[in-house]
Amino acid sequence: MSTLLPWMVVLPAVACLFCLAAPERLSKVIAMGSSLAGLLLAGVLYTEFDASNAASMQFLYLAPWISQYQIHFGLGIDGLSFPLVLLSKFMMPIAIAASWNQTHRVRAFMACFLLLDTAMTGTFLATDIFLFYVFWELALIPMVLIVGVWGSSERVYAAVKFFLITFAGSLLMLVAIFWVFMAHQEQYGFYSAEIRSFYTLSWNHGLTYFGLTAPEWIFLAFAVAFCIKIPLFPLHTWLPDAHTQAPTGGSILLAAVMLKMGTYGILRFCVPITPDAFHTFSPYLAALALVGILYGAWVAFQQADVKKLVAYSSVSHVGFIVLGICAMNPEALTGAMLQMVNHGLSTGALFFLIGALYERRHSRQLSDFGGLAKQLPWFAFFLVFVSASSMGVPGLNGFVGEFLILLGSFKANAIWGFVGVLGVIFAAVYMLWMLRGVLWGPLASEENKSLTDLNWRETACLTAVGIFIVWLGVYPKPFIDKMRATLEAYWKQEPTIITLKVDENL
Amino acid sequence: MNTLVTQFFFPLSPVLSIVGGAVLLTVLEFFPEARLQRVKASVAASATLLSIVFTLLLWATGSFEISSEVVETSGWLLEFKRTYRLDVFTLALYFGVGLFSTLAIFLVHFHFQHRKGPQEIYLLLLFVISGMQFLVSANSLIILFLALELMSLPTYVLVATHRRDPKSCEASLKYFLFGAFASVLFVLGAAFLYASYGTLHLGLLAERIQVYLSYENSPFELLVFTYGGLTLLMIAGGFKIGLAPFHMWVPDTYEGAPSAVTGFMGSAIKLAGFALFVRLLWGIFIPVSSHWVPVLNTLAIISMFVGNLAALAQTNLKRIFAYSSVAHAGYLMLCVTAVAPFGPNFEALYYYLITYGLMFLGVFAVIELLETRYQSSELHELSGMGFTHPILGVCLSILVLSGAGIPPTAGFLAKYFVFLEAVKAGHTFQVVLAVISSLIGAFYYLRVLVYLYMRENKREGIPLLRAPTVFVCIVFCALSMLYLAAVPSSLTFGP
Repeated sequence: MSTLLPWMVVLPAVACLFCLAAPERLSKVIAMGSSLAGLLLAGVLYTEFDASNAASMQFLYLAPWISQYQIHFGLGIDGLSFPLVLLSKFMMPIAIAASWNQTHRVRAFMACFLLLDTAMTGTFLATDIFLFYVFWELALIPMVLIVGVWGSSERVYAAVKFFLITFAGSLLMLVAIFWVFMAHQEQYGFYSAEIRSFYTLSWNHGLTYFGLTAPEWIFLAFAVAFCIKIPLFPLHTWLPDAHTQAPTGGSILLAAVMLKMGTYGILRFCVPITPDAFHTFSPYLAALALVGILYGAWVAFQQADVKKLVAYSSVSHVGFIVLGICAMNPEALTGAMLQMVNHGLSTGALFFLIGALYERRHSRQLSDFGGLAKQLPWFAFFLVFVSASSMGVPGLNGFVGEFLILLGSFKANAIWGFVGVLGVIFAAVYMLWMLRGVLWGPLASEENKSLTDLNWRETACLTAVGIFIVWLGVYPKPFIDKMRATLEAYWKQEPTIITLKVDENL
Repeated sequence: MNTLVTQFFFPLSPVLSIVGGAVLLTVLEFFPEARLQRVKASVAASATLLSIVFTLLLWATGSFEISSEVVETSGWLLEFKRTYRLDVFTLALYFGVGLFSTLAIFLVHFHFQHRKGPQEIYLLLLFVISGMQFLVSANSLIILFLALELMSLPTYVLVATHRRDPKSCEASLKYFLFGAFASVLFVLGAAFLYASYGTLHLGLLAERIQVYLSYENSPFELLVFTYGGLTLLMIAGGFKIGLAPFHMWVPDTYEGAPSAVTGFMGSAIKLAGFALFVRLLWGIFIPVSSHWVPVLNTLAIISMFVGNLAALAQTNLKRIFAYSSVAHAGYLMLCVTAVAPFGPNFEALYYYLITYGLMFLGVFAVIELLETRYQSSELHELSGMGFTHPILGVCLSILVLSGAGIPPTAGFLAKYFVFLEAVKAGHTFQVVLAVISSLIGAFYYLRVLVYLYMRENKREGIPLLRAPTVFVCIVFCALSMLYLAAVPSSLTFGP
């Protein structure tokens, strides 16, 4: 039994306690140190991960928890969770670096980040449905605190809204979890909480409750919970508030990692547990995704606040991911997985840059800027670079993901592909609009003339992100190879069933 | 002599240690000097701790069953066995009562260190505790009634310890009126059952109900008396646990009583109240469960919604958690009704009772600190306290999250176990409603967090009192929320 995964989960939680006890300056160092150590573990994971066997859970760790119901503290990783774990471990030090100048209650701030790290990693790694739920909920609490305590003026409203909407979705998911859990007990005569053991459940399609069959209800309950997190139009209303109010580090993690918990959930639960219901509902999901793509793009274009613009661009971009999942063919699914990582990298970097700008100018209004390219050349370079990645310029990561998704969508349904392409065009429109407003034009405002360019810390973070943006854009093959086996199992509709061998002596 | 020890004194030792403490305190009451308060508190705490120790000893030796051959030799031991039941569930409840009482005694001691109050407080507390212990082990309706009164009468006095405070008096009067009413109903219900079945013994009652009601043409009077008795006993129990619609006294009493006493009532007395329900419903009325399960399920749902919705509108912490206790009574009742058809599976109920009680005590320990310092238990007194009192803030957050049932706290697992039992019993629709009400409830729990961390502190420079004992209580309650979530098997008990 490998203990690599428990370390990845537990290390930040332990560091979190040290953070709370340490002096303020030291707490930042502890947080950064532990997140870098986490990155190192992720590196070990990258080299040790067996790509040829990616469809099965690797690095399994099982410890007893609620033995009465066969619920375990089970961690494992396969091709589906692999890129997301790497992404979350990679974005963690960047988010902490983005919060380096935080002066308000630093210890608690860093502790929240580390707790979030534990929860996010745990969500992606959990092989047990209850452990998944626990980590899923655990991720909510530090994020609510980050938004509510360290956010801008409307922070409490944003935090409460975020909490209530997400919690509502979580409870729906809990009901669905109960349902599948009991269904497993009924069909097999024993309890199991291992996620993959629910993939083999068979359903009575004749039996309906209020017009829908059991798997349809289960699918909807899971899907609503995940779509709130993604967030899919029209469940996205918490996102602009939370993003705009959150401090920079919080926005980065929210956009880069937490939104992916939703798309991950759809692939991990909705598709394999209730495949028929997924096929019934995927056109509707795709339609919502398309509306989200266009709506997000349109609203982003209307924003006067740069951060809100990027927040709405997220709504648009995650629509592509959902579209890719709905198309459910090799190209689209690979694209969707890649796009999860891409969106994490580019939107994370965008929030990082906007945070850096806000720190200097204390404004996010487009009208306050203009002509910054002259004053802040490095900032301008990175902003153009990251925006290009975000709007899908060939040679950068966004292109690969979106191209694959659109290819797959055309194959699935020409209209999906067509509308999706429109979304790409709109993305270019609002991104260029933002670049024009921030970077070009006359350097009118006096205040902007005294701004300083990115410091080495910010440059280092952005360079690290930049390397991956180019790498994934030019040569994504090694990355795709790592998850190919899992994705194949998905589009062939035969998720590999591996019932974990539960040692009775545990 | 030896049999007397092993068959009588040893099984009774948890109760005897409390009664012994009470007797000792009665003697000490002849010395009303204020400086003796500490001694009296220590006596009370030692008595409850001793009771816990004996409970664990009984548990470890497993010698709580009275062997039958001994019983046959002596008549009065037989009578004792018929009225006094000691089983695993009773021991578990003894442990819960002892745990909550010990914590509550620390809180009460802190409370009266900083205020004037009557001297007899610990004596009364021990009486209540012994009443609860008799209640959870009573096997006869008359003993149940006596135990109920032994538990309730001193509680009325405890609630009114601040005689000059109109709120305290109001609280006590309301509690007394409702409580007395409940007692009357209980007696009437017991009389109905006695009149129709000729026994007060729970086991015999169960047997006779089973037999008599299985006849084709049971006399109409018998049915009226049986179901009438059931209804009256349920109403009486409903008052005690604060189940809607019998919860009217809860907010006022919980608000007016000293916080320490409220903590005690909300945890220990609720535990005893549910023990009463379990004894009656699972002990006597199993044969007619198809009649009371839907009714109590409905009351449970009403309770959840009434409690959670009313708590939304409150600004006073004590009232918020009073209403939340009404909601929690609903969740607990859902468990009581769920398990019944499948025989006594106490674990889900017990886990919920313990985690809920510890949560409640921990929260009221914090409220006690607030009240002692600021003479107010309004929600805004918490503003910014998460940062001025970091450890207290974290502990209160954990407790509140546990109340809301958010992982990774024990409150989540407690709700999870209850829901699972309910789903198993086929009460899926009730579970869906319960989940919706938890969502409503999450809002006011979250509001506590919002005040703790997201509001500016208005009381900068007036920190809370340094109270090591209360502080330890709070930390203990908060840590136990995490520990019980990580190791839920620590509260399971098997045959």
